[in-house]
Amino acid sequence: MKILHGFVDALSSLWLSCVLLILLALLTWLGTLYQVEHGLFGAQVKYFDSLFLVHQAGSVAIPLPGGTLVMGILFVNLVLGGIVRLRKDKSTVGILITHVGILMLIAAGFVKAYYSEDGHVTLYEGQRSNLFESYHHWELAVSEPLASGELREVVAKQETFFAAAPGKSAMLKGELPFDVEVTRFLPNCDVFPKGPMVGADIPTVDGFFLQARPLEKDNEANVAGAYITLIGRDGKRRDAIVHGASRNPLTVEYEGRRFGVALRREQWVMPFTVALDEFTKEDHPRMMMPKSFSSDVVVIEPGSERKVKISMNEPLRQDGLVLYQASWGPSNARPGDRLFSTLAVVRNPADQYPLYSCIVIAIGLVMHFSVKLMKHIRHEAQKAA
Amino acid sequence: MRATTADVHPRPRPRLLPHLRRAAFQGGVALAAALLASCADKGHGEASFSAPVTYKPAGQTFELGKSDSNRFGVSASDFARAPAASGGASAGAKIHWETPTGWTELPPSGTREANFKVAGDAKTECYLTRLAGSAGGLESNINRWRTQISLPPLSAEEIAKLPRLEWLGAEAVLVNFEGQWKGMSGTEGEEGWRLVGLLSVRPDESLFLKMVGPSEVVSANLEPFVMLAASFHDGSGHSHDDAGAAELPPDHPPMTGATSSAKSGANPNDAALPDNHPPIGASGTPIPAAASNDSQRGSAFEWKAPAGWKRGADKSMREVTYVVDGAECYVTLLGGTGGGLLGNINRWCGQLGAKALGESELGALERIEMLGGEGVIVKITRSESAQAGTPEALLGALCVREDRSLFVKFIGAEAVLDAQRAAFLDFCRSLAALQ
Repeated sequence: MKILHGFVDALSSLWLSCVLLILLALLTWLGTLYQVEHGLFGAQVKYFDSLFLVHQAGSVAIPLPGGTLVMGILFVNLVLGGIVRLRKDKSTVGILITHVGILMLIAAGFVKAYYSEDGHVTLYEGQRSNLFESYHHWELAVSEPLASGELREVVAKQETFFAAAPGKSAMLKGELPFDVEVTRFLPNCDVFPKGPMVGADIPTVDGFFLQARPLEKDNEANVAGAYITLIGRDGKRRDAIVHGASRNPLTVEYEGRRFGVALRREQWVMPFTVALDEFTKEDHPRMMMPKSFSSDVVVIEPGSERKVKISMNEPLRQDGLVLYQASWGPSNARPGDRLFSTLAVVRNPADQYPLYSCIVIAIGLVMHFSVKLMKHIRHEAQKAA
Repeated sequence: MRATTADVHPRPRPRLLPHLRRAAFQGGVALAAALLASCADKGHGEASFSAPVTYKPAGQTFELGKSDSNRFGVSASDFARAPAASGGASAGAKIHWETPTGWTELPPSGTREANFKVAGDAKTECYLTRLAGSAGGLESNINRWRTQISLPPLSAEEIAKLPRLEWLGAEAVLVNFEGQWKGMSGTEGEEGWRLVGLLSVRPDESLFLKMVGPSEVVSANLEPFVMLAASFHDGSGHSHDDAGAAELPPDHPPMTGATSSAKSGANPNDAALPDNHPPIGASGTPIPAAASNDSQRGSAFEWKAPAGWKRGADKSMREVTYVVDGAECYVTLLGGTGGGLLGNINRWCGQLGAKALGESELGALERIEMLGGEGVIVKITRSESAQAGTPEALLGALCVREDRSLFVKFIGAEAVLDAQRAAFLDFCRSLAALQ
């Protein structure tokens, strides 16, 4: 019991709150510095998505708690310190509400981090799509075209095979007539044909091999590749290479069925189709600076179509998805060239939580300061009397 | 009255040391547990695919049965053949080149003596092919390429009008086709592709430099393509300098000037192309016969031409070219950062054999207002170790942005560049983007 009290005391203390907030500030500072050299995604993964990290200050390695751990402990600290230990009477109602608002804000961050889908759909004028794909994460997809024109797919997320290496392969099983063994995963690589004059220190499959490249600062620029082995129910093994920049999937046949196997950016199906009618870009007069850009799209659902303009501050919200105008290209297009538009697509169940949190926090603070003000006025009135 | 912690924590204030000791202990236990959890071996072993999902793709293509060469955009079949065909005028002479920044040099294959993946794009490739003899002749090779990109064949008269330039010591024909890429096998069907190539057909040996890929990628890589072409040399003195006519020997023909049409004063590219051919390079603007001080307009910019500067022949990827007192000034627009500020400055330094700049020196360079932002001015002079034919000096303006970047390069005799510096800066300041 004494230990439990001590534990609760430690976790609910203001000292711990201060230490955690200082750590958050430190992580933000170090992460920002790291971002300069290693890009946004790298900084986010190392400093904010992690439980622990080792920051390299010159030749000195400094172990630090990661952003996820600090935020997790801060959440517990707020619950215990702000709600469990807080004196509960009418003078602290505002503080209590404010604490709840802050907890909602942190919870929104966790929901966003673990339960959101974040990607983009890129279309040239005249093109349409009902898929959006991740900027960062890969997946191994096995697709079977059906007679109805549909695709039946199973996928394995990057987390299940990213560490695959010689002696540490990842075996993927599913509702398929074959298993897939990822024997080596390379987060950034090129695929090359193997010629008689070319030396390759990793395996060659059907005349091709993967050559690892250093990771790019911008994670979007990395193109992954993998050596895989397909193992049929009869135990027959077939080696193959899949590469993230392939034009078409690897074709395999098992038990009279044809499958496409592809390493691709993680992708999601939207409950509607977006067709890009026209992309409009306006530059500031006589400068190379875009003033605004917008996409005229048609949202197609079974039995209905509607036209929508998506611009920089006017996203499309539909069926739990938010489509923002993110970018455009080709960047060196000349007047009259065909352009493409990139729409960032986010499915975030906590999309509106920050707004609600801010409202709750505002209400809490207004109540608290109103109580304090009233107290002060009463006190002054008593003094005057 | 100020709020105090007593409002929030009414308990007696705990003594600091025991509290911290407890916090450190308990926190340490929690951190150790979390550390162990985070270090758990993940990313291999056995895992399951997701449950099957069925959907109908809208607008996306899903094709099965494609070969590995098709999937990866590179051919392995060439490797079955003997490497590096040779023969001809430069028989046995190895060709050297400089791989453009951002391109990946691939291993040579079969008849491909130089082989590149363009700007990291798996679909776009560029390669130099060397074949013995006339390799079927100019006409058949041009029309073979046109077939690959779904264009009808050109007649001998139309081919005769294509722009010519000197390349590796002989005449070469520049082609620029856009259409649906059917590939070598004629079975692919990629819309919106572009093929740019140089064909030098000689009785004893023929050379073909070809870049093919999605139009936007090829368009963005025209300057590296020209630079690559210019960098080829066989050690016999036959080479080409990307700087163009101003830096070439006195009797050297201009790099992209069509000998027949240049004399007439018309745009050599347009004059040489068939009616339905897309224009080559940045501009389809006719070349004025004489210098003009009026506002000029290109395909993406307008500007004021400095007094005394004469408009040069339009060239691929250049917005405009001017010539003054033997020096040449031209404007190039590239997508993205185009290799970045320091990368481009040091590329220019390399061209003049000058020492590369560091980050610290970059900050000291002159800045001017340009295109609503900042332009960086740099002057580079040729080093003593530079190769013969290298321009004496370079005055450059770089306006590097995340989405697109503009480069103004002025090369020639140092005295001329110094005398024209004010005009050059005015020219840079006058550049304005068209809407």
